Amino acid sequence: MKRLAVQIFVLLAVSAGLAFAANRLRTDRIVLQADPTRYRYQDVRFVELGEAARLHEDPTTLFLDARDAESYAGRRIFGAVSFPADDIETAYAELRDFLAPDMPLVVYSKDLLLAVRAARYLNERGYDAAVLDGGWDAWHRARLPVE
Amino acid sequence: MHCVLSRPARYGIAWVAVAWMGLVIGASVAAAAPRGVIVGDAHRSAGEIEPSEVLSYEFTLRNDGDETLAIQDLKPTCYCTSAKTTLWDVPAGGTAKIQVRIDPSDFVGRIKKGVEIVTNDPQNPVLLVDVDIVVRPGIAVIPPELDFGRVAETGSNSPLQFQVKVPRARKLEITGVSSEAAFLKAEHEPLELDERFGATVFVDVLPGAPPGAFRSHVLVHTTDTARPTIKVPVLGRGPGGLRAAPERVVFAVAAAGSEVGAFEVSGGTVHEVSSSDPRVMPKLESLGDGRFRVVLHLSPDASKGRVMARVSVASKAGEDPDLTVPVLGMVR
Repeated sequence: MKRLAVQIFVLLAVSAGLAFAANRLRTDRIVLQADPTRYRYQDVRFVELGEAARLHEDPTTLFLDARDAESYAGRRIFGAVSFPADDIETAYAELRDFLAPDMPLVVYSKDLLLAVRAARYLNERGYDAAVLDGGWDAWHRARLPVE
Repeated sequence: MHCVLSRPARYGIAWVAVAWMGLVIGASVAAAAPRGVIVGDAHRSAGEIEPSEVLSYEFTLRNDGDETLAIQDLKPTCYCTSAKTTLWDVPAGGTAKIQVRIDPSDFVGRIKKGVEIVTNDPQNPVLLVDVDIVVRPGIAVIPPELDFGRVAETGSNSPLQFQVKVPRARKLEITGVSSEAAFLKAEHEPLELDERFGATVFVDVLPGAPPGAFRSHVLVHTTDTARPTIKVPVLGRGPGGLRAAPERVVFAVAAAGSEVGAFEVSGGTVHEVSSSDPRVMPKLESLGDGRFRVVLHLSPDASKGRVMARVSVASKAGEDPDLTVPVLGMVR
């Protein structure tokens, strides 16, 4: 009886270990620890860095830079388009013709507040905008393509 | 040498000397410390604002000490607040600007939001700057804009509608609706919900819309002095004039010099095509029957990166374009 219990325990422990390891290796992993930022912005979808890098390979995905125009002019994610959240009405008026509801949009900023604001604004208008988790800093730190 | 002082007196003098030296050393150590102070008012008031307004404030932190003041952290008191500094290490006598941004859209009523500035100042390591705000209950417009798409000569087939939803806590009346354009007709009827009230606004495009793309507004008039009018954008494309098919060109990845797409133009004679981005080179071809084709190539020396161009199509030479076609893609 005792031996059976030990065997069950070992089997469960090994399975759990493998499951955790497999989850950790996946780019679309299940988040095991609650992120307070996501909890606060439940109406906005976040994409992790790995997923964003994969989306960046797909040129139909449009990356929108919600920082101010000066920061955008300095350095930006390769192929990103300026969409300054501080002047969102003007930015949207200039960009609107280029957008389509089925076009994946990834919004980023140095300041999460701006990216969330820009994504919310676009989603309210029927677009599919997500926020890059970690924003510009995470992308830049990971040495992903910039221009 | 013979000492005239008694032993207790000698001890007393020695203790006084030691204490004096301690004071001198202590004072010199204290003087060599950084000291952070907020110049001007550290606590400000924004008054009453709409929840859609994002507030930006700048506070000045000055180092009144004589060693470098290191800003170790900026801790917003709310997820709705962010902060950045122009300088992390402030030299003696120098200043840093602390820029604070507050997005109050998740709140209603009186709130106080700010940032704790954590420094290496030994006497006052945490300085608080904050802003008192009164957030008005927000007015929601759903959807926030109307797009009629292509409109026939006879106007729109059916009206589009939007709703203006006002929380009951916000005392206002909707007194009417109007349009900026003569070809738009707007009517409203009251909307009564449990916690909100407002209006449902019906918008129609009448015959007489101008050819090509139009962008106008419907105005909702209220008794609220803070928001006497609520502007709702109305978009569409009027009948007649030049038309493009497709209305937008999107290409994935293309190399310099390659063809990236084409669109057909009908509804009139095309005289000129031009592009807002020199990397996109439009070439006009006549297809007969009053139809034209615009073929788009990338220039042979097109630099890498995102292409966001507007190709303008004009029916008369030297005049404003009748039509613009967005072109989106990537050069790699």
